[in-house]
Amino acid sequence: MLFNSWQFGIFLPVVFLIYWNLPKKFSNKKWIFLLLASYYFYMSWEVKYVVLILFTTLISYFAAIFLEKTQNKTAKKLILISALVSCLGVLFVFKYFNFFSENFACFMSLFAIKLHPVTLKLILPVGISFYTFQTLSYVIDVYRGDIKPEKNFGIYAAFISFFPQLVAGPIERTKNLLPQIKSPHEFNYEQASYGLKLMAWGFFKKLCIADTLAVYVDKVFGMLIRYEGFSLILAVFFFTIQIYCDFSGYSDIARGAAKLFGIELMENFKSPYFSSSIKEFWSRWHISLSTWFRDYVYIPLGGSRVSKFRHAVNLMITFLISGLWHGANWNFLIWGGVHGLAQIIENFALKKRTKNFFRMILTFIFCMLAWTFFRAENSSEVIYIFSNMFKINGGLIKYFHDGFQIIGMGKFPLALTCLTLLILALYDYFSLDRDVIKTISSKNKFIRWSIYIALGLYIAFFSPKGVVTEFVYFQF
Amino acid sequence: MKKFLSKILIYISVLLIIVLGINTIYIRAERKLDLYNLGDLAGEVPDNIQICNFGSSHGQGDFNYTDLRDKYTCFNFALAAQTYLYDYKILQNYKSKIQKGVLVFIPVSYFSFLGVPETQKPDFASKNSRYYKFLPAEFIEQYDLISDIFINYFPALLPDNIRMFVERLYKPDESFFESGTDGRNAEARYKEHLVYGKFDENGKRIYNYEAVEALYKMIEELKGLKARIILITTPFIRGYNDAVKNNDPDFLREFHGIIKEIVKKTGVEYLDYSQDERYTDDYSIFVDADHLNKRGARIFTDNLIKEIFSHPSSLTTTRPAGTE
Repeated sequence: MLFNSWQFGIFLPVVFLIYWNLPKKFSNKKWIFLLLASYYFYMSWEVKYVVLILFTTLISYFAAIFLEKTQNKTAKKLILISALVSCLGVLFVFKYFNFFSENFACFMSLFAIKLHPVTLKLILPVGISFYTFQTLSYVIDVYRGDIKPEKNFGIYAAFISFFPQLVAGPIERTKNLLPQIKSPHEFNYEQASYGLKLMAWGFFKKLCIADTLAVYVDKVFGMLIRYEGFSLILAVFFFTIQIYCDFSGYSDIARGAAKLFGIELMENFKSPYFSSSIKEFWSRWHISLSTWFRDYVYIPLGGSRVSKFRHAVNLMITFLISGLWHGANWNFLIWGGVHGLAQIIENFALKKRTKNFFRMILTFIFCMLAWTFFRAENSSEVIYIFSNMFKINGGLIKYFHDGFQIIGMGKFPLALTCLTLLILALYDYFSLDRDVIKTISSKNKFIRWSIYIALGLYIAFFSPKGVVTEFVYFQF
Repeated sequence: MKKFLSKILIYISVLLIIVLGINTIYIRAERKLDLYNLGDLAGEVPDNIQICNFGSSHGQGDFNYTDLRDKYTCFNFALAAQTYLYDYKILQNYKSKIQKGVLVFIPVSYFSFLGVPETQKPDFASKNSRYYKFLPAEFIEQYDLISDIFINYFPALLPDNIRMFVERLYKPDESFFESGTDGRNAEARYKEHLVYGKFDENGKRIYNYEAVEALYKMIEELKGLKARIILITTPFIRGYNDAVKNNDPDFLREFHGIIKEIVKKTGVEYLDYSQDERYTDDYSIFVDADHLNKRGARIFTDNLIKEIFSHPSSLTTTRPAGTE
């Protein structure tokens, strides 16, 4: 059940109405209903994969209980390792087995040893990377003594499976989400209203920007050799915007939907393309994942409180793993490596930076070029793009004109794209120092209702119909 | 809670009123402007059709029955980029409207047998949507109820429709089949045809067997109507033929080979006007290298019907190479 499907359009209001109209004696047990709704939501993707989430939930739940009961340090370590291996094992089998198997065979062939790689024909269960990481952080936090384990299995299962953030995050921390799932909620008009507005903004980004640009991106990346020059730059630029709007749009819808149930999820994106450095970019992009890697990989490795060389190694390891988290493919690994390298250069070779427009543009261009690794199928496609994107045949005007023409973008779609990108840029720019939704809500009735109606109409008229497109990050 | 729900209700109501208002205006304009370029299919399909044609843009643009409608019931079932699969579906849907002994033209163009199956085409969704306008669900590939509802009842909510609408308003007089050509676009036009789906990455031809099979089925269905079936290659300008010959010398031989096989297996007739010198050098009757404009289509259709009715024997004189 995708957020942008009619099924979700029925599911959410029904769950919302039942949730807030449960008899008063259930006010402390609303999590039961959330748990049922979340499992129904997850099973709507593929019933059999409920076994996996249940397995991961059970393992982490009991591991945490045992961790609390055990005083022996070695036994604690053993429990932790067993839990990590079990949870990551499921992820490995479904996501990485084929990649490692094929690459192992390839590696052995270097020594003239011919192996036929064993591959599994498995479909990646939706959301597995997200909920696995949520369970890992829970177990590690219990091991570290940062949190107490949840005794009630149902509450814990509702925390892991809470439907708005189940399939593509934000990857919530126990300290933030679990107490909210447990505690009774009173309906809060302001919170619910804010949630709906945030959802509308998320839908605008997903349906009106990401899905519109995806048409051009898929066209070019689907048959790269037919394109050259500015069309390739356009495709990479559009993908840069598409992936941001797709993922941040999903996060906004998730956060907005959670607010409808009185639950606050963490902010996952804070105007990342207005960053003046790669370090800043990662403090604004997919925040729930980057802070996860910071807390559970980078800092345990020693973080920055080590020698410069070791610091650089720590950064690189963190980014390589982050790249691999996105997918079992060398391109993701290179993408992570490129970002890691950029951070190392920033940290050690460049002077401390202050925010300015020029640096912002440079950071954006870097991110844009790095996204090429992310979107391309293999490295030869990346090489093709980089070596053909500046191919000029007969003057600059022709170069730009041909770019738009070759991807089939007429004047009207171009005008609409410019308009939506302008709205996006303004929203993100103003978000740097204020809450745009709150600012709009504080305006007089006529202005704010005009904005809400205009946004609703834009989504109604310019979102794709009859075609339900998945969110890009679902594949991770 | 009540305040929240009532505000949502007000919001949705206001939005709905505006959307339905715009949608109503749009539906009226859509009919007037024929935004889907449905041609004859935009209107009523008459009963007892005596002369008709199917096909893609070569059928839709190159057949113009204006001067024949006084004498015969004629109908053009062709649509731009239409493959034989949909020709066959349209035939199945409208066969009750076609008179026994009908004269049927089925255009065969250089790229008719090439490409990937219908549903694998990159523009499948946008091309497929027009069939929701006049075909019942059982004849629509990958039929989807939601699409049907939007296309037929809420067309203004489809972004592509708004784009087409704005573009049509922006260029009201630029109807594709009304302009002329200077003949200089022949090579470019040929290259346009070498798009995704007709050749693989190595430049090897991909044959659309689904289309060929549909053509055979169509011929069978028409035989049931005792139709006189004529496969026809419409006129192209000389430069276009030269581009095909120069860039791909084997192509025409292969193309004619397929037609030869169809003619042999089914016994249908074939007329090849692609290199007819009455048309190939007269750029004023072409809209581009391979499509006649409205005037050209009238001239061509009149000539064609005259030739067929007055000199039936002439049909055998323009067989493709190798079928004699």
